[in-house]
Amino acid sequence: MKLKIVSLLLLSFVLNFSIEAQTYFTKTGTIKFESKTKLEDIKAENRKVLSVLNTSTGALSFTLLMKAFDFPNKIMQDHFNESYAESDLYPKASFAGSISNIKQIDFTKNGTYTANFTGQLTIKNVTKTISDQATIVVKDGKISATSKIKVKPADYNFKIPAPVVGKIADELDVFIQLNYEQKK
Amino acid sequence: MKKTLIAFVLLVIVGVSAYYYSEASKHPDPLKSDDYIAVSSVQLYADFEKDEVAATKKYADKTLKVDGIVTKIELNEERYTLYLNTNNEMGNVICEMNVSENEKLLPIISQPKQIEIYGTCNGFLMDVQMNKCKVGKIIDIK
Repeated sequence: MKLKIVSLLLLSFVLNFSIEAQTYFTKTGTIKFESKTKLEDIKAENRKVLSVLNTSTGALSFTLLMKAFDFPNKIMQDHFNESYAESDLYPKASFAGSISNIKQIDFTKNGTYTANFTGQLTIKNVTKTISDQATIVVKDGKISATSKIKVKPADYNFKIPAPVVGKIADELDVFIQLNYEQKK
Repeated sequence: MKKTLIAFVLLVIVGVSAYYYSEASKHPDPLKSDDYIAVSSVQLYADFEKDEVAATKKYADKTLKVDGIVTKIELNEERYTLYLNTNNEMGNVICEMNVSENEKLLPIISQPKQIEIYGTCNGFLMDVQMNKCKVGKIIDIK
């Protein structure tokens, strides 16, 4: 009986260790978006994106606080949080998905790899499936992922009032940069 | 004459509005704010952990003066991010510093110290998040 407990403990330790060894995370990922129109250019950056990547299963997720988007212009930031994103009601945005070609990426070898990802992007309680590509760079045990995706504000229930229509692009360019560290 | 006067008045109105718009567009300097909540990093984290909704109401979007011990420093694209202690290994108070503070932070980098930070609270995501942070006081730990 005692031996059984010890071996169970050992097994759980080994399993736990191997799972953790494949888990990479960051609390300071960057997601920025840009809206470009003839009337106005708007950009904002969130530098505290929480993201987890499992290099074995390909599971990839990130979450961010809408209020942590930093706009150079305070008035734009206030409008974004109060009128468009309604950040008090919907404080977080998230993505949960996976990299389909994870087996083709050798995380033990320096190199630049293309990752195909699919998952559920949730903003303002609206969830849509997105699929795109990311570039994964492995360098001396460090992993970083970058991607550029397109997001349509109207898809996520952003209501743009008539006077501002024309100042906000129908489609935003969203840049993602995640520099991971291994979970210890 | 009348036309000149009207044009002048319009010009003044446009000028004053543009000035107020440009002032309102700037983010206020947290160091110059009298209207801040003073709290320790340990207490701030504990408040969010106990009741996230209530703590978000109390702290989010507000200017905070937070004091705590720096446990980790990250440099991303020339911008420092400081992690303050919370007595809880699950999370920290993460302070994204203004680039203007880089020089003031040099003494911190070599040796962990207690620091007083003024910034805006964004809310809670495993950690308490703050941005637009500036350095108040740096205290040596003995």
